[in-house]
Amino acid sequence: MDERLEKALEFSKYRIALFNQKEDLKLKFNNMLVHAHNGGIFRITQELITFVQLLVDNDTQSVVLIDQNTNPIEVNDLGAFLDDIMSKYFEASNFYHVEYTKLRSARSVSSIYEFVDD
Amino acid sequence: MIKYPSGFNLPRGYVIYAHNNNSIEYGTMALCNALLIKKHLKENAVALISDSGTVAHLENNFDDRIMRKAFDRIIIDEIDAEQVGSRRFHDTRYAHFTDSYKNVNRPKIYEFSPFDETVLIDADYLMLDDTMDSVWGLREDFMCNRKTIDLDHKVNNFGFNNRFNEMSISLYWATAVYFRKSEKSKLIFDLMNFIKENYAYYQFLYRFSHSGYFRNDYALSIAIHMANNLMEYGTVSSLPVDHIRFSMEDDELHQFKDGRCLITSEPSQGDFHLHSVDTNIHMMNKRAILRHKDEIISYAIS
Repeated sequence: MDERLEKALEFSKYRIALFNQKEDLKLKFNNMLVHAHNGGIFRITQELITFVQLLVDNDTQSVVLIDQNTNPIEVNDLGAFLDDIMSKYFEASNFYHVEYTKLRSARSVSSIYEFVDD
Repeated sequence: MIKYPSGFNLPRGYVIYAHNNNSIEYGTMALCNALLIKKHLKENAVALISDSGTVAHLENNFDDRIMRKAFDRIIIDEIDAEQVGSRRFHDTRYAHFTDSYKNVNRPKIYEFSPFDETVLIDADYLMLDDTMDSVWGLREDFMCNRKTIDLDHKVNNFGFNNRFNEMSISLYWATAVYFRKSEKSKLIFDLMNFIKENYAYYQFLYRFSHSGYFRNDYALSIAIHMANNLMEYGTVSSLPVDHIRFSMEDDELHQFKDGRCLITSEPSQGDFHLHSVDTNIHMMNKRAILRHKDEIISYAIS
């Protein structure tokens, strides 16, 4: 095979592997942002955090939030709820950042997977 | 047979159905998965529903300590031989075999589950993370997923974009189903049992081709449609993680190490894509799981 073609194909394998692992990371990041509270299930978004922060800043103690299944869920201690979702959000985004940085520096298929036999 | 504690009032847990055939040790797969549940999840009670032959095979091959660690309950529900189907299984693109498929007892889970809140999972839906911990105590009585994502991140899998067929009802996957014992859940399982008994009729009514064996996914989808008054609206919510990640029967599991699977998919022949997966995954190549049973068990009990 032509050397240039061989290199191109090898690079294409690398690109596919990189794409798949990046998509896997996004999935995992999104899975980490699921938060259950008082029978409701919430997806932690920057919008949710900002909204709850606004309510806390206005001294609101309890509120009804609509969860991802459109159920109205009573949140009685908004401060604690905010702490929980912020903590989960930062844990997930830090994880995403660390893993994404590792991926960006990987220059071969094997280093992308970190799965070499000892 | 090992004596397990009796009692049918446990609060929460997982149920796995497993019935061996001549080619696949479903019981061993269930044991691997039960140990993964114990390893990764806080709520981790597991009940195995199986036949006496499969349980005897497990007891002959695994010591009492491992069995007790894996299963909190073992419930015997023998399969009616007349209802056993036959299907073709693939072990990568390069090997296939035909054997019996004993999946007809699942709709009876409502009466057999020892839990008030149950997550019913396939034996080959490997629980590699803790996301299922957020499923308990939610407002919903019944949850299952429509969306699937394969290893290559395709979402329209099997060609009908989360529908039963191109012109029909929504398809729900029975790979993972949460239910709380309630009127709504009982209705859905009662309907599934009715559909199973009249499968040929529903095959013509909903126009799906008969694959030679009973499909729980189809019965579940029809039951949900019927429970929705034959309308399509969202009375069944998705699980907290709204998709089933899966690996096709054509894929190969090369290595299981530290809770991580190294899998190759082969979307077209000879085009191999490598994947490293440590999230819940429906590994449809069952023999691939069994080739790595020792690694899975030793990881899960460590």
